Amino acid sequence: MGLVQRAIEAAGVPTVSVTMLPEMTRKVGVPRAVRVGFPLGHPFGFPGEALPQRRILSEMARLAADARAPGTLLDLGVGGDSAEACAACSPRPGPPSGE
Amino acid sequence: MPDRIVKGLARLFTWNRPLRELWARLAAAGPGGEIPWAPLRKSLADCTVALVTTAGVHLAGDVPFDMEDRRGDPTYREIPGGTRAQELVVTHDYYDHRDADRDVNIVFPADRLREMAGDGEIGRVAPAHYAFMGHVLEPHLATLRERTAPEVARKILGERVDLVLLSPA
Repeated sequence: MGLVQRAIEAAGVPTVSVTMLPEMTRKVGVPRAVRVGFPLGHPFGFPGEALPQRRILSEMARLAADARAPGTLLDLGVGGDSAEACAACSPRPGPPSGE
Repeated sequence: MPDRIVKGLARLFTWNRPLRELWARLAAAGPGGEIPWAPLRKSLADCTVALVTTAGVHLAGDVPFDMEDRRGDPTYREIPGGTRAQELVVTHDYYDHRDADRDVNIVFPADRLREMAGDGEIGRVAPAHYAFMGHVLEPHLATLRERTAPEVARKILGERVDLVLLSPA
């Protein structure tokens, strides 16, 4: 995804991404990103939980306004696939059951 | 590789944090060079905002991403700005998207972005969003890098978008 983000920014449009893999995001080198501690496939949290979805999106928009240098990575949480995944998120410890 | 093995591995990586952190550590370095930079030139309340995702999202009636070619699919799908999450589906064998199938906003928060525009937090939703399927290997990676990613960037620029928010899977 970093490749697409870089292409859009290079065309002149500011970009902010969300990442669950900050180490990879640093390696790729993107203009701005927010980090959440959710599992892969869950950049905005869990189904039916509108509040964290909105909060993360708002934090991304705010970072676009606030960031001053390329490679800015804002950590929205303190890590773990847990309640701490981001400030506004509730816990969902395991994979969904059934198909 | 058989389908069920690919999907099994996808589930393992989706939910196993140490495994994906190891993968991130071992992953090749990025493109290098200077990170591009375009400053935001308006206040958020005046901005036209688009979403771009690599989570394999598309309109239910659109052509699905190619899951037959294990080297991936470098094409993209346009999603009109007014689209509601419930009109979208996910085609992407390389992560566990059972939760996203229940609420696509967790990978592509179209409903939340529209609410932000309604509340005046941003100016408006862009006329189109764009979606890729994030599993792209060579030779398709070259197509993504040289053709489809720059094409989407040009379209976004042409649509006078002020800010793009991106989400992976």
